[in-house]
Amino acid sequence: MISEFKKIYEQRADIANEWKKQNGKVVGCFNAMTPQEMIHAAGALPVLIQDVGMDITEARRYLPEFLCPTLKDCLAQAMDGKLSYIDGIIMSHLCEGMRGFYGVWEKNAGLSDPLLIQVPATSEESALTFYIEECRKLKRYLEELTGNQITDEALKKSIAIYNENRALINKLYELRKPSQNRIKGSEIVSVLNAGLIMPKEKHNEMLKKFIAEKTAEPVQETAEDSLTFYLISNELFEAETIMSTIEALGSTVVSDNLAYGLRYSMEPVAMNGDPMLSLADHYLNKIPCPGKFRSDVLVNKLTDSIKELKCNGAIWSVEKYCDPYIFEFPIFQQSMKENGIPLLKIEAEDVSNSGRLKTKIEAFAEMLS
Amino acid sequence: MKGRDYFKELRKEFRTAYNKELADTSSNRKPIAHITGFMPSEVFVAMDIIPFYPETYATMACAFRAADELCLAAEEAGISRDACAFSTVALGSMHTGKGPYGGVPKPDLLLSSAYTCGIHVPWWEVMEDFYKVPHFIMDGPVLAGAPTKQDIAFFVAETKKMISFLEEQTGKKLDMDRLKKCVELSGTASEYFADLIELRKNRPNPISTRQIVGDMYHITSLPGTEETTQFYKELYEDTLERVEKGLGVGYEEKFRLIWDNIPIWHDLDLIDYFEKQGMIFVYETYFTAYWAKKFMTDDIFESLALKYLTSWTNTRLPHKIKIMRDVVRDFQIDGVAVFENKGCRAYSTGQLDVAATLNDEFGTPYLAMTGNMADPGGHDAEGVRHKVDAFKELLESHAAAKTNA
Ligand code: SF4
Ligand code: SF4
Repeated sequence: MISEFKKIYEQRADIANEWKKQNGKVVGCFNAMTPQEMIHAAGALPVLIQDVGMDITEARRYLPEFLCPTLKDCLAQAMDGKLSYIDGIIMSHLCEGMRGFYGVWEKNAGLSDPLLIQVPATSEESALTFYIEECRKLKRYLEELTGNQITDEALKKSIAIYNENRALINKLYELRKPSQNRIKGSEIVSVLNAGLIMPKEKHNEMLKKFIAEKTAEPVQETAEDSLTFYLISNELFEAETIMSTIEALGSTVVSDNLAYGLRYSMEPVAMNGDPMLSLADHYLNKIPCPGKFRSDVLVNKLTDSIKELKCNGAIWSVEKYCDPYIFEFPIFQQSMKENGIPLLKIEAEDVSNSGRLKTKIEAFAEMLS
Repeated sequence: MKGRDYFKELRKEFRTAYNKELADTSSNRKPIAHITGFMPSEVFVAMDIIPFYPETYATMACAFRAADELCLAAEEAGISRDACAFSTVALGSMHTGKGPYGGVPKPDLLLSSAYTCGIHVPWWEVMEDFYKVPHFIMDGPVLAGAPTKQDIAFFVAETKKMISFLEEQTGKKLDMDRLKKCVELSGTASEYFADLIELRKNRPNPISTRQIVGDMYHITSLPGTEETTQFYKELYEDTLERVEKGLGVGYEEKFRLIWDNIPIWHDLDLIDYFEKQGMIFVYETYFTAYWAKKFMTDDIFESLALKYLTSWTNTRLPHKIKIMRDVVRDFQIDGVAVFENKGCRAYSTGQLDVAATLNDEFGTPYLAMTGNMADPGGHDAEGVRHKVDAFKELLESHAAAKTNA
């Protein structure tokens, strides 16, 4: 079934165009801190705009070389007409790259003006009050774009659909644990990727089927010399490459901190009370995003997971020029040292060179065996 | 006229006194708080807490030629040199204790801000992990345009929260009258600074970028004191006198330029290199968007919000373009030096669009140079100077074409 998920992702433009014919608007989002439930409740299709490995020469005319490759790639896609199916764009501000990018996109992407949503860095009352206002701004924007009212009922329904999606993704991660070993990390990436561009209801259906299939399979035996790793990565495309390389060497990546994996699914949005307030509270308080969460809290969480899963080592592979992670690294490194967990840092240049990547991982595995 | 040396001497005295306070180890010393350049320092002055700015320290380290070594030390501690270069320099000093004035002083408190640049919070967290002292995060809005009521209310609520934190930590109550006085003094100092920048519309430009870079020290370190305000009053008056006497910066003024971005602190001589060839800087986005501005209203908290929220890094591209259009007209600009600063993504993203727009609309030529404001590693001083030479030729041919047209 993995090939089906992969195919869906590859055909994302067709899926979006089909949706437009049948249902209405398509809204592009830039990161996991966008309350997609609201887009869904407005009757639009939320799609994630992410790095797909474009030629970025044209985009470089407007963006500095030292900006993360993801943002350059996204602008390149827009300038190349690859995102022409998008009707509205939401940018949640969560890193310094995004700050200046917003204006450059507005001027050069050739698409409708994006809506900038500010995401406060803290979560106390003043921040929450401010963020609720931002969510209201988003609501108005979506209502205007789609011509549909976002009622509380519709929002609750959308939250329920997204919560179901979260629960199913949690199950996937359960099936991936060493005790089960029924699903590989690289497979999860394909599943997540599809979910980021297709209607959530359909993704839920496919997930249920996939989980049923995988659950019916016998628990996989692992080779004795197989090692288990935890991957810290902020890019699905790169994560998949690293996971596949590790798997091909006979080891496994038993968990990760991917923005659309456990980080997104670990907690459901509260279903009681005002749905808008629940959403605001959820996005501000419950998603441990490095751009917004305190590094020590994040590092402690990561360290606990790595210890709980008894991983042989941790692998850190983060997009170049990505500030939230640049500063988390020294704290994470220290924590790994204190807890005696071996750590491998993979640079962007390693990921783009398959031979180099393989050698680096092999050397790390050798050191651990 | 007092002249450049007079202000240099004042700066020296100011710096000595400031560093003396920072180095004080007596039992009744003032507490030291490491804060960002975008937090209301006036509150700290009013509460007798010494605000210390790691960013400014990094610029000092550049002047003392210590930045490279400190960046290396930071890298060894796991901080990538792709990070904000002020952070790598200052964190290098934190880890090694090396650097000017005996290294970065140990803080009693850490306070970071999240609105003007998202780097500060994670950077301060690295310090928190090292120093193990209380860390307060001041939140605030990333502006989507001019500050709205909602933005200002958020900033004010956060400032008040910060005050409560400081009162709790120091056991002392903030005297509101004193804060009011500090904000007023700060507002006046910034107004003098803004008026001084206005004087640069004159031909010849009466005060050089190099001098202002040094003369920023008072206002960036301790706004809200009598001494700082007096400094800018005198500096303004002195510059006005220069205008009246028709004095320039000491070099022939052939072309008038904008410097867009933070200065290259480890290669300030580059400014002279331009100016010796008749390319005189008369405007910098750096000064006006942060300190040289008029922000006072009847409400001191609102005034602080207007001062600290409307920085260049918190300004959206269309607004930047609007400001720069006016600058090109009012300051009679002939060219723009775009410094694509690897050390600060927040400042650099969007710069090329501003320059390209000015080029489209006014035909203003621009020079794009890539480098790093504080990390001298790999700095190609010679290569940049070759580019400057070529730019001069471009300006000349552009001017000739205009004359012929
Ligand atoms: S979080 Fe990192 S990878 Fe994502 S847009 Fe920001 S800088 Fe780029
Ligand atoms: S990245 Fe730029 S704005 Fe942010 S702290 Fe560094 S120098 Fe300041």
